[in-house]
Amino acid sequence: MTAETITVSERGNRLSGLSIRRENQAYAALFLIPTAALFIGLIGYPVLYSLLLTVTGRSTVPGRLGPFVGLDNWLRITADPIFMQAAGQTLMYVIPSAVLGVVIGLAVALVLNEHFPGRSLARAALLIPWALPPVVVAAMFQWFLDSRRGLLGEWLVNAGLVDQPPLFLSGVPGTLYMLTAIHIWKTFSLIALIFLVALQYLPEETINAARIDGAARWQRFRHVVLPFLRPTLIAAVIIQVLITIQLFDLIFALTGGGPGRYSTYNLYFYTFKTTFEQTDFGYGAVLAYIVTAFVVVLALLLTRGRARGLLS
Amino acid sequence: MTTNEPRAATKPLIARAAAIAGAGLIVGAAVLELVQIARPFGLPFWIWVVATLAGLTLLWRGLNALRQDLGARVVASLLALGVVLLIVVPFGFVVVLGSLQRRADLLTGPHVLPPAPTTIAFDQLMRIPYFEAGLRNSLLVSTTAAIVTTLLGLLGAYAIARLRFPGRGATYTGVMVAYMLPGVALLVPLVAIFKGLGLIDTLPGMAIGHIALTVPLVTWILIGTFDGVEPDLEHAARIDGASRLQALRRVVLPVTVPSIVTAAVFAFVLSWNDLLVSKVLYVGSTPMLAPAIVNLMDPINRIEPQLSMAGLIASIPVLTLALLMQRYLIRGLGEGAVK
Amino acid sequence: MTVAEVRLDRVVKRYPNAASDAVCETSLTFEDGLFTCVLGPSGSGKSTVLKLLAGIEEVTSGRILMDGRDVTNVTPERRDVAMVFQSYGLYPHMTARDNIGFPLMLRGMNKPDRYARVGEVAEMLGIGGLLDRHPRALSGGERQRVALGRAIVRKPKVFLLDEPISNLDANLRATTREELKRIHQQLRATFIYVTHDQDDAEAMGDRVVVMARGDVQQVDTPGSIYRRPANRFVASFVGRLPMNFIPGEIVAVDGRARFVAGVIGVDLRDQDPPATRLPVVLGVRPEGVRVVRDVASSSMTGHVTLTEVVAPDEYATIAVADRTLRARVPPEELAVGDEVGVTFAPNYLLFFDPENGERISLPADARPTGAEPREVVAR
Repeated sequence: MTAETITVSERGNRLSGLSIRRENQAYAALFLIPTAALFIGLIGYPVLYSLLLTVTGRSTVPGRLGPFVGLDNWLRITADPIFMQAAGQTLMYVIPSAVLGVVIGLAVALVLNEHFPGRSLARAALLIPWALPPVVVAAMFQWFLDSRRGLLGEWLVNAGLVDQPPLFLSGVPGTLYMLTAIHIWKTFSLIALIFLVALQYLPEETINAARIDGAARWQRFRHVVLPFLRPTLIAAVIIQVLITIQLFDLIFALTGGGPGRYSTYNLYFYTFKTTFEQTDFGYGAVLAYIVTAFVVVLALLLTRGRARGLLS
Repeated sequence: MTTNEPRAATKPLIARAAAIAGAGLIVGAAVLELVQIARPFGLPFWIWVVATLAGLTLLWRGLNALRQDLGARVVASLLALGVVLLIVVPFGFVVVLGSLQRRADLLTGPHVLPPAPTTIAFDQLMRIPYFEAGLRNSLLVSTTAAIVTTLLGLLGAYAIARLRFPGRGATYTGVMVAYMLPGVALLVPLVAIFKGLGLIDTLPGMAIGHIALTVPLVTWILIGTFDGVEPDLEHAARIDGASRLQALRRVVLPVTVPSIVTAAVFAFVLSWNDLLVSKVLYVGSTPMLAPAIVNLMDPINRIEPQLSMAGLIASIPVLTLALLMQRYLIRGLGEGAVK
Repeated sequence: MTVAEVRLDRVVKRYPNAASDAVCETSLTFEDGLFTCVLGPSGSGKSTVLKLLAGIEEVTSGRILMDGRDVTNVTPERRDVAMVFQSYGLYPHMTARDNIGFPLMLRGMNKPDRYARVGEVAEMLGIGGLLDRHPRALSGGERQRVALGRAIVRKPKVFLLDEPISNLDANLRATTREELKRIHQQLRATFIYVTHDQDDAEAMGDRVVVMARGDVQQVDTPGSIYRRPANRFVASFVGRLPMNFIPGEIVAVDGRARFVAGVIGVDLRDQDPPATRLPVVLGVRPEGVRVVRDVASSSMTGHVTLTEVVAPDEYATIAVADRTLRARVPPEELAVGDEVGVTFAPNYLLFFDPENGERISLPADARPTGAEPREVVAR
C-alpha cells in the first residue's frame, strides 16, 4: 500500500470550521429553535396564560382577559358541590379501572406468554382496542348495549341469564360502571402488551432453576414471575390511573355526563364542560390546574421510578 | 423400574381419556350454548359455565400428564381464543357486519350472516356533508400533524439526547412536563389565545392544535430512541470523516428508521383518534372525523348502519397502521402509554 | 513518508458533576511511528485519553498537538485519526464493503476506486470473501477485522485502538496481536492502543504508558516497566502474578546494610549502611524468591501451603513465620507441607517508599550484579 494520506474534504459544510464546543452549540441551536418555538408557543406560553385566566372573571370580548377577580375562582372550589361529586366519581372510575384493568391485563399477558400456535395473531388482536378511535368504541358499545335491540341484551336473555334486556346505559350509578367496563375493554390490551414486553425479559434460567427446585406452576408465578413483574405492575397501575383520570371521549360520546345532570362526570369532563360549554375560562383554568396537578405528580412518580430503574 | 411399568402403561390411557373427555365437554357445552343464544330452548346458563370449567381442568390435567406443559399450552390457546373473541366479536358484529346491512335487516335481530349485504350505508354516509368534510379534514390534519411533528421532534430530540448545550437539563424537563400535560389543561389557554388570533374553526388552527397535542409525545419517544443508539456508532462516523449532519443522515437516521416511523404512527393515531381538541376547535366549518361520528350518534336510534360504516371508515387507517407496525408499536407502547 | 507525533500538553479532563478529574494534568508524547500501549485498570482514564485524542470528548484545559498542529478544538472528522472501538462501532445498515468504504465515500472518492481500495484492504486482512455481508452476519473476529479495515483504508497518520481485541477468544487474540504488529510495521503510522491487558502491551508495545486514577504512572518500554516499575501500583499491576511486598526497614548491621522485617532478613551487599533506620517496603517478584530443599543451611525457612501451575511455570506459596511469599519453583518438585529454605535473588530486590509508594532507587553499585532477570518481553 502506498502511504499518501487522504484528507477530509470540507465541501459545503459551514459549521465544520468551528471548535468542538461551538459546533455542538451551533447544532443545538439550529435543531432546537423550531422545537423550542413550538414548545414555548404552544405549551409554555399557554400554561402561563392560563395562570392569568385563573385570576380573571368572564371575558366579554373574545380573546381578551376578563376583569381581575383575585383568588375568587380558586375559592369557588370549596363551595362547589359538582366539583366534589366529579372528584368522587373520578375515583369511582379510577379504582376499578386500575384494579380490574391491571389484573385482567396481567392474566391475558400470562396466557399469551405460553407457546401455542396462533400466538402472534392473538397478540396482534390486542392492538385492536388500543388503536380503535374511542368514539368508534363508544358508538359500537352504544349499539351493543342497547336495551331494546342491542346484541348483548338479547344474548343474555337467550342464554337464560336474565329475563329482560338490562338497561345498560340509563341507571345511576350503573351507567358509570358500564362506562368503566367499556373503558377497561379499551385499555386492558395495552396493559397486557406492557406485561408481555416485560415478560420477554424474564430470564429463562430463573424459571428453569425454579422448576429444577421443584416449584409448581403457581409457585413459579408467585415466587419468581410476580416479583420479577413487580416494577412493571406498579408502572401499569400508574399508567392506567393516568389514562383513566383523563377519560373523556367515552363520557362525551355515550352519556354527555348524564343520566341525570352529573352522574357520569369526572373532573376532566367537568373541566371541559365548564370551560368550553359554559365558557367560564377562569374557573375552567383552575379545574385544569387541579387535574394537571394529579397527572403530573403521578407521571413524575412513573418517570422518576423508571429513571432509577425501579419501574420497567 | 419394574414396579413402575404397569403404572407407566396405564397412566397415558387415563390421561388420554381425561383429555378427550375434557375436550368433549368444552366443545359440547359451547355448541349447546351457541345454539341456545341463537334459538333459546331453556338450558340454564350455569351448566355451560360449569361444563367449560370442568372441561378445561380435565384437558389441562390430562394433557400435562402426557407431555410436559402440553395441557398448559392447549388451555392457554383456548383462553387466548376467548380473549380474541372478546375483542373481535363486538367489533365484528357491530362495526363490520352492521355497516354492510340495511337498517330494516338490523332491526329484525342479530344476523351472523347479513341476509342482504349492501354498501348503501357508505353512499348515504358520503352524502352527509359534515362527515365527508370530517374525513377529508382528518386525513389532511392528521397526516400533516404526524409529518410535521416527527420532523420537528427529530431535531429537538436529537439535540436533547446527543448535544451538550447550556440549559439542556431544563429543556429535558420541559419536554417531560409538556408530555404529561393533560389535553384539557393545554386547551383552556390555547382556545383563549386562538380566539384572539382568529384560529378557531380553521384548518391551520386545527393543524396547530393537533401538532401541540402530538409533539411532546413524539419528542419524548425520539429522545429515548436516540439515547438508545450506540454512541460509538456516531463517534466512528465522525472519526471516519463525517460532519455532524452527515453522521446524522448516513448513520444515526438509517439505524433508527423503525423507531422514527413508529413515532410518526403514534402521532397519527393520537391525532386521528382525538376527540377533545377537534371538538373544542370546531364550531361549524372545520369538522374532524371524531366529532362527526359523535354527531351521528343518536341516543334514541342507536342502531344505524351509517354509524357502523362511519366507525369502520374511521377504524381502517389506524387498524391498518397498527397491524402493519405491530412489532415496533408493541415495543414503543410502554413509552407512549400515558396518553 | 509522513508520520505524526501526538502530544498532550498539560491536558485536564473533568466531567461535569464528577468528584475527581478523569484525567489529571497530563503531558505526554506519543512518538511518531511507534506503537504505544496505554495500560491501566478500568477507571484509570486511559479510554478518556483516547476520546480526547479522537475529539469525541473535549479537554477541560490544556492542548493536544498532532504533528505540531494544535488540534485541541478540532472536531473529530478533521483530525485525520482513525479509531477502532471495543464495540467495533460498525454501521449495522451497511455491508462490510460499505462499512470499510465509508471514510472514502465521505472524502468524495468514486465508487469503482473506492471498492478497489476496499478490496485491497480486505485481502490484506483476509476478509475478501465477506464483503457483501452485514455486520450481524459476521463473527466477532470478522467484525473486528472489518473495523480494522475501516481504519486502515484511509491511511491515517494516527491510529487509535480502544481495546479492539478484548471481545475475542484467547486464540484469536494472540494471532490478532501478531497481525496488528505486522500492520503497524507495514503502515509505519503512530499507533495508540488502549488496553487493560498487559499481554497486549508486552506483545505489541514499543512503549507502554501505565495509567491509574487519571494519572500517568510510568512511560517506558515493556521490559523496563516490568523490571523497574516506578511505584507500587505499577509493580503490582504489571506481572502475571502479584509481586511480594514486605514492609520492613534497612538497618546497619556490622557496618553493612541489611533489610529486616521480623524473621525475614536480607543482606544488601554493595549498599552503604544507612545512618538511621530507613523504613521501606521490599518488593520482589516470585521469580526472585529462591527455594532450596536444604533447610539446615538456610537462614529463613517456611513450609509450602499451596502450589499452582501457571504454565509453563510452577509457583508455590510459602508461609514464613506470619508472612506468605509466592515463589517460582522448579516444576513438580514441591508438595504442600514441605519444609523449605528461602532466599532472595539480590538482583530482583526493589524498594519502595512506605509513605507514597514510589520506588527508591538505590545507588548504582547496589544494582544487579548477578544474572539479568528473565526477559519477559516478546520482541
